[in-house]
Amino acid sequence: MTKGPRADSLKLVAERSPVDVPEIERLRLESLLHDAITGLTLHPFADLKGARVANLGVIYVQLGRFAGVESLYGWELYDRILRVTAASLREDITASPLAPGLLAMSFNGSDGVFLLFDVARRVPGRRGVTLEAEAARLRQGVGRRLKQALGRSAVDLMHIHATALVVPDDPRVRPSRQVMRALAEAARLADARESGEKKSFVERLKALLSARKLRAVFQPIVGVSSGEVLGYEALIRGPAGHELEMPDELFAVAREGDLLLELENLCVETVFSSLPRAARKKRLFVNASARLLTHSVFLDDRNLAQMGRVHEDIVLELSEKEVVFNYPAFREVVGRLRAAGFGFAIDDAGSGYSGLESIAQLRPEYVKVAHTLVSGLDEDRIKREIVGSLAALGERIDAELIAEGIETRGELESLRGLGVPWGQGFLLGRPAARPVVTRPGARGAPGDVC
Amino acid sequence: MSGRIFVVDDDPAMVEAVAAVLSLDGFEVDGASDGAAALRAVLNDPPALLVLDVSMPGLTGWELCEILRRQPITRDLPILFLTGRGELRDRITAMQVGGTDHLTKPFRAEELRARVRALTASGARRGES
Repeated sequence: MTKGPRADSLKLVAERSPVDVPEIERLRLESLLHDAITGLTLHPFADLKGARVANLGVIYVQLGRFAGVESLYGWELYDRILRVTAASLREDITASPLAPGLLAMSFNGSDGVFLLFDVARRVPGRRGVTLEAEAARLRQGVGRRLKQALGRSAVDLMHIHATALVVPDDPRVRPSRQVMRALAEAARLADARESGEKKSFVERLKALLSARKLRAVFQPIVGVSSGEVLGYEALIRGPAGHELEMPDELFAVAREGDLLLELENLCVETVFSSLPRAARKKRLFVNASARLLTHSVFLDDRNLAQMGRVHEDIVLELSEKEVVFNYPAFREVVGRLRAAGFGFAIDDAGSGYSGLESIAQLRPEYVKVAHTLVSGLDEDRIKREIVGSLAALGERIDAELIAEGIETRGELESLRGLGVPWGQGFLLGRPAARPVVTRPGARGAPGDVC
Repeated sequence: MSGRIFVVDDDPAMVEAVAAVLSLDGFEVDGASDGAAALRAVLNDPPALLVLDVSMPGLTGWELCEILRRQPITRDLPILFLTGRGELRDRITAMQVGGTDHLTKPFRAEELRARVRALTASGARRGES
C-alpha cells in the first residue's frame, strides 16, 4: 500500500485483526444479550444461572400496546419510555420486601419487563406482602415516573399492566422450561387484561362519536424569519379532561375499534363547522388520510363544493406514515381533489417510513417536517443533516417546508440557518379555538398566550 | 488544532484519502480497514473522533457503534458516519445506533474538514439529551 503525500501521519492498524477474536466475540454477544436502552438482559437465564427454586415468583410489567403507539410517537420517545420504565423498576425493587429474593430482571425486547423472585427469600418480618401487591406498586411507580418525565399526553396511551404468579417447583420438569412457561403465562395474563381494557376504550370512543363530542382547535403556521402568518392547522380534540382528549389517543382507539372512517368524518365536519375568523382569512391545513380521501362520501362533488364554500384555500395534510403514493387509484383521487381546488401537504416528513422519492411523487405544495426531527435539532447534527436534505428536496420539487413542533428559540434559530421558511409549534402559537400568534422576538414569554 | 482521529473503512484508499484531508488541519490519523481491528484499537486507546464506514465485512459500522456506546470509555466518543448509504432511513439508523454525525460519500473535503473541526471542538460536552 502506498501512502499519499499528505498522509504522513497515517498509521494503518493491521488490515485483518489476527488476535483478540474471543474478546470481540464477547462484546458482540454482550450487545446481543443486553438491551442498550433499558440496560436489562434480554434473556432471563443470563441472570438466573439455572437455579432450582421451590417457589418461583414472576412479576411481569407490560407497557400497553395500542396499535401503532410507537409509530405515532416515534422511536425516540419510545426509547425514553423504556428507559424511564426500567429505571423506575430498578429503583422501586430495591425498596421492596421481596428484594432479597430477586433472581433476574429481564426485558422481553419489545414492551415488557420480567422480574423473577425466589418468593421464600424476603426481608425478615414482611411475610404478609404478596407478589400481587408488589406488582401493583411497581406498576404505579412506572406510571407516576412516566407522567413526571414525559407529561400527560404521551403517557395516556401507555397503559401499564402488571401481572404476578407463583410457580411451585416440579422436579419432573426441567427448570429452564418451567421458567419459560411461567413467563409465557404471565405475558398471557397481561394480554388478557389489556384486551379487556381496550374494549372499554372503544366503547367510550363510540359514545363520543355518537354524541358528536369533538371540538376543533387551530394552530398558526408562521414565517420563521418574517413572523407572517401563512395559515392555520386544524387539530381535533375530545372533550377537555376526557381520557380521549388528544388526537393520538382518539386515533389509536379508533384504529383498535375499526372506527377510523367514522372518526375522520366527524373530524372534518367539526373543523368546518367551527372555523374562527382568523382561520377563515388564511390558508387552512386539514389532516386527512388516504382512506378518507378515497372514500366516496368525501369525494362526492357536493361535499367538495360545500367545503369550498366554507373555505377557499384548503390544504390537505397527508401523513408520510400512511400514504401509498404508488397506487394509480390514489393518484387519480389526488388529481380530482387538485381540480376541485385543494392543495396538498406531506405531514410527518422524515419520520422514516418512506423514502423521499414517494414525497416527490405527490408534488405537494408543502412538506411538513416531523416534530421528532425538529425537537432538539440545534443540538443534533444528524437531525440538521436530515432537515437540510428535506430542504434540498423541497427546492427540487418546488414545495415549501414547514417545521412542526418548534418549542425553543435554539430550534427556531437553527431552522432559520437551514433556510426553512415556515414553522409551527408552541413557541409560535398554541392550538386554540381562537388562535393567537406569538412572536418570539417580542416581549412576553412564549407560553403565556394560550 | 490537533488531536488523534481514527478512520475505519474497508477500502484502504478511502482511509488514506480521509487521512490526507484531515492532516491539513494538523490531526494525527490512525486507520483500520475492518471493524474488529478498529474496535480493538479504539478501546485500547480512544481517539478524539471516530470516522466510520457502515458497510464492511464482519463487524459493520452500525454494530461497531452500538458496541462502543456500551463501553464506558467510548460512551461519549464523537462518531462521524462517512458512508455511501445516504438514504433517509440510513441516517435515522445512524442516529438510532448512537452516531454523532453523518456525511455521505462522495464528500467534499471542505465539508469533511468543517464537520470534523466542529465535532472535535464540541465532542467533550455531547451527552444524552
